[in-house]
Amino acid sequence: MAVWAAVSINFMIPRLMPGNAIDSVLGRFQNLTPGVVKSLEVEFGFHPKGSIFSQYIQYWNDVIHFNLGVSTSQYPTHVSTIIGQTLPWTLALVGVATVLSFTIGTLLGIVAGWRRGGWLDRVMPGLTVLQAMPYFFLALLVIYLFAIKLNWLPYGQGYQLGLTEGFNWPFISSAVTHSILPAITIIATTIGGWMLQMRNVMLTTISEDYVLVAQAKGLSTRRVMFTYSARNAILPNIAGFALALGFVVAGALVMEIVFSYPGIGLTLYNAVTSNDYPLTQGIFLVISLAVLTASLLADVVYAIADPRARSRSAF
Amino acid sequence: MSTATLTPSPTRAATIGGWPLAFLRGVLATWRRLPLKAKIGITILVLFILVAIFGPALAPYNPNTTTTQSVPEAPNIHHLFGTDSSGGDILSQMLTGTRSTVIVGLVTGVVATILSVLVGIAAGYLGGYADEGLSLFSNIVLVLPVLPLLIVILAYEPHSGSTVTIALLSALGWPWGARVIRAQTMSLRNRDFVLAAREVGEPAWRIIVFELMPNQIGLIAASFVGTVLYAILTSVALAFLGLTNLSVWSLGVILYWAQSGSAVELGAWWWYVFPGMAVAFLGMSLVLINFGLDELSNPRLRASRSMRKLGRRNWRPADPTPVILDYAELNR
Amino acid sequence: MSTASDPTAAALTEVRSTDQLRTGPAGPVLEIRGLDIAYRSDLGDVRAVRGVDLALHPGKVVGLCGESGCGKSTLAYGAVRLLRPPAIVTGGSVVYHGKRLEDRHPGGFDVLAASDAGLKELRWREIAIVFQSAMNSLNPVLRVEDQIMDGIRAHMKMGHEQVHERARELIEMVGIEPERLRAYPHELSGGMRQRVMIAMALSVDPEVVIMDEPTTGLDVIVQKEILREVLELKARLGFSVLFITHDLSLLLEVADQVVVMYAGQVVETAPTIEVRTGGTHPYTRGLLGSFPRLRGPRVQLTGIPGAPPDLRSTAAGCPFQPRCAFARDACATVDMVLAPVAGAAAGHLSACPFVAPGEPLPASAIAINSPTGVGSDPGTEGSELVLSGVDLRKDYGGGRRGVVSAVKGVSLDLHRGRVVALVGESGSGKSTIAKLLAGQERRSGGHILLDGKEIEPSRRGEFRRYKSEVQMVFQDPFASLNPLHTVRYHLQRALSVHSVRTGRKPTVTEIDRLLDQVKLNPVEKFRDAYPHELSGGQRQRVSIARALAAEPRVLLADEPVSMLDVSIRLEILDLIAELRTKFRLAILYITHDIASARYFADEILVMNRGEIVERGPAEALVQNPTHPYTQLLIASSPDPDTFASEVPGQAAMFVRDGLAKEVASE
Repeated sequence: MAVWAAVSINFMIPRLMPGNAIDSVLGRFQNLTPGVVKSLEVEFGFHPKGSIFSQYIQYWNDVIHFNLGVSTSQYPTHVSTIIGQTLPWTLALVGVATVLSFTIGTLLGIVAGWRRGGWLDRVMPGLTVLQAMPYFFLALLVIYLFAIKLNWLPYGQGYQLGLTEGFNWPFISSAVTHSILPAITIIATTIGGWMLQMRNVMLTTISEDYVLVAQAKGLSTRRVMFTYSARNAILPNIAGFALALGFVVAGALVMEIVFSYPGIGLTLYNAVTSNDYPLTQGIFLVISLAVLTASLLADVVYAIADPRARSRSAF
Repeated sequence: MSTATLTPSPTRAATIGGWPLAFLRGVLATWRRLPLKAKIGITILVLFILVAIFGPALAPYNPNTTTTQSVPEAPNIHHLFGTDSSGGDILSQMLTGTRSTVIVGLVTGVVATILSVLVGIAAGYLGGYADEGLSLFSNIVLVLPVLPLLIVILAYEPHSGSTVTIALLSALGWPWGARVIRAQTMSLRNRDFVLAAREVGEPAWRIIVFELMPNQIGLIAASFVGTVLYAILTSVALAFLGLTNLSVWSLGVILYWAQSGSAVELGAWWWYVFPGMAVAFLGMSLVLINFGLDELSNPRLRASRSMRKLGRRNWRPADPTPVILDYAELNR
Repeated sequence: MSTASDPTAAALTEVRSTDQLRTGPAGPVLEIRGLDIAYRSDLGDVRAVRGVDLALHPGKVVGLCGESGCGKSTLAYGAVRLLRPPAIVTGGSVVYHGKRLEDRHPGGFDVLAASDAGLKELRWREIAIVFQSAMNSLNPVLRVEDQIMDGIRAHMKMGHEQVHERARELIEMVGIEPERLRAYPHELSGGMRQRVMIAMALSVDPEVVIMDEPTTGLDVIVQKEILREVLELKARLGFSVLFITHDLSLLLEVADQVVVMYAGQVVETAPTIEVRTGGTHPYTRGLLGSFPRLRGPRVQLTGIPGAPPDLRSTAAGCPFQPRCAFARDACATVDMVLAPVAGAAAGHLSACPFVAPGEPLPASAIAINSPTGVGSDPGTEGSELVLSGVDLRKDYGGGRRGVVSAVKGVSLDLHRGRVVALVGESGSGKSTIAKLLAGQERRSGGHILLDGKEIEPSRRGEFRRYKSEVQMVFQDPFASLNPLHTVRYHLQRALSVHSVRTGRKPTVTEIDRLLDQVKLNPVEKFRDAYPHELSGGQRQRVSIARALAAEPRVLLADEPVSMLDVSIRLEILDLIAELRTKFRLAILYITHDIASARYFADEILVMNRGEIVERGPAEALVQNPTHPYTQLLIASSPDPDTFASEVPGQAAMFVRDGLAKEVASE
């Protein structure tokens, strides 16, 4: 359903926009013979033929076959090729950072909730203030401090230029060191949110009767804390994960731009600034689908984690 | 803004005397009940609103002034926050630019909150197919990655002004609040006092406005604050990427020029630290307000001062019942 | 069974004879002395339990009873230190004398001095708890078997197979098929969850089991079954029980010793038999007088006026004095101290030095305004028919789940000035009938006739006119008033909606008149109050006043007192009965409690699974039930009067069911 919406929106945007997008694209290529223009139009998928409806069917057909057109700024590379090159960088960095942030944040939230009033609980508001900061601002500070002033870690690009991509040690180590600062930025800005929510739900869960029963049973503190309290308290956090993904991705895009990280966000930015409409749309489509997939995954995890949700869907 | 919306009791207020006085009293009483975090947050927010109103008049320089210099100037007695690379005064740019950032935040907050209240209450109260349709719709909008979508849309109109930004942010920012309000409406709808109001013969609109909405003020306020935060952070990010009208100053636009002027590489920290901190403070004030609202609606989150320390040690929620046989020690 | 060398496994399956129980240690197994528990709050400490003494002897059932907020649960949980801060134990001692801990703790295990680790040893293995709401006390994300087994593993060294075997034994012991071990809590019914909870509590053979309202919220028939099982298991396994409930009549069936609490203090403790014959302390007597009986003549009932005191106050004197029918000046200064009652059995203590057992109640005590003469139904002659439901039907669902019929063709007539009671268990469809008659839900079939004319109450145009004739009082007074509006607002709205027909403007005078009708005096005190400032009884009065604002001819009362404390129920029923006479209201009284229906109603309809199985004049139906379901319902309802001639010291329920013999012969 949401997939349909994402694809449809992508279909509609260029058609609803004021002005003729084709003209602005063609404006970049001066002195073209009409024949070339015609062939370009067909190739970029901008040639409106038939009714809106048949265009829509054609568009779906293209999407299903990953035929997203040809980039205008990196002509004649196909959009799907560019996405194929850049997506892995983003997936690796944002994926790992998000999972790390979620895991660490949730664990810290469990401890903060359980040890209510402990040092972790008191430090927490400070951490959550980080989430009120614009991503890129924190990124700028981090770059200035660690990369420029202290020169501890590199920034810009995904790896040291001149290295060959592949499974060789210099490349991997370079890629890893280049990803540390961006990853830290992502984790720092998102961890507070997971932690705060986990801690708040923990506090509510601890006063549930079944936690009291677990204590009355004389179970070990660890079991009461994890199997009884945290196991239930994590459910809203998982549900929240699906909803928050959009924000995480948004932040990560800006982060890539600031760090000149060769992921999909930077490519999107470059595509936008160079009026490369096919590439822009292709990337948006891929991002929407990625976010959708991730939130579906979160839904599946939720259904596994909560037996009540399982039996509800069985009906 | 949020203090006023929290005033709980129009009926009681009406009995005390003239309404302006009663209203003031209500605001004061509400203020006193607020947790410290919310008080701090509201104070900072009010400061920013004041800057937004009077800032442009207070700016010592014309923010657009350029001099012949080509290097950014560090903070000094003439330029408290330094200058950009063409000699523009950062402080003046900030005083001028706060207005548009705050306006984008607040207006988006109002519009999106109205949308989410309308959709949320309609879906929750009507139920049935209306609910299913509206929920589906808001879930779809909810999972759309907002920023990329905005980037794509604005790519066609890169230098449109804040009106377009506000419209887009509002159109995409309501589903989260609608979802929460819908859930709350559904639980309230089947509460006895709503059934009892129907039993009295109250029309549906009165039930919605006088029975359901007042019980959701906390949620609506929280949703408003959350939306304002989202709007400010997103609009600043968009401006930072240059996807706005760059001739109108805003905090994001200053950061855009700092980035494109290579402020980081030049070591001109003042160029991005001051406007960045301003956004961070503005965001922090909203986060603090939401903390406060959370604590207000869920007292468990609030550590009662008398509870934290009993006798000589801190007690945690899951500890065994404290035993303090010496009552005098307890009150020490 | 498993290993014979394992003492606990052996103990579980071994049937102990009653002789063995008597030869056990002479002293109590759990001894509470002068226990003080307070809740800290910014507004001052709430002293929820004040200087309570309590002794639980091996193999006995001690019943702890009192109204909500009296401190009975606080006492029980505090004694095993399961209360969460800001609750604090501020005084007294709790000592556990268990056989298994005797070598290591010769003088008994001091619970208040125990460390966290020490408490883990005590909990479950020695003192287990059956919690109040089975819905919330099982972990929703763990299978039932895991929840039973983790308790066993925490206290016994057993292999996985043994633990599993034990879980099967336990679940069979409480009458559930072992297959259900794989179920999650939400897949079980309320009764089953409570049984699981009991199986869990008995899993490591504890010496003491605390049962906190173990059957509240369950239907009487299930309640009866569960209590019978508990007593049977107790006889077999020999644990002792601290049984907490608000329902004194239930205690009289299960307990050996009854402890009555009021405002954090014990006001009376006595062997059950002595309480059955009337009790001594005015509060105990008030409680006893609040329960309508099922057998014997329809005697006058006495309630307890007023509401419990604020526990923050430190005022001297007897806290019950303001509500006491026997109160005298000295009560304000004399502290409550438990003292033996003269001429009574050993172990019978009362905190009231002024009132002797059997002293007649002063005439000032309130009594229910019983509608008709005892045992006679005036019939429907001379009272016109207002509202009738004919062949009412209601189906829910549809689609893949199939249709559930909540109401399957029910007909009933409501006449002016008459009370009709609709009695049934949860899920019988009785509340659905109220909703259909009130027009809150659309019926699937049948007719509703108002003054003989067919009407469709849920239709838009007719709804408001219908509402001016038929009003409803809701079950939960804490939920039926909007917390953000004053009493004045609630009544004002009700008046103004119906002002055209009643001709009454929503003025202060009219509001005061309504408040006066429901006896909320002085009216100035209540007019501008918010719901949270009122007690449950006061709120229910406001609800009734709101219903009266429309000047209806029919009042639908859906369990109007079931959420209220026992002592307040009578007052409210009394008020409704009075209004019935005054305004000649036709009343439909919906209840699960057939005893209260006997007292309050002229006619009783018994409902089961969407159908009316029996109907008749109230007294005749209760005396001579003909339908098996009605008979079961009446037999399951707790009723103190049945035991007047029983052997002291034996759990009454066994005697009645002849179970004692079975157990002894085992």
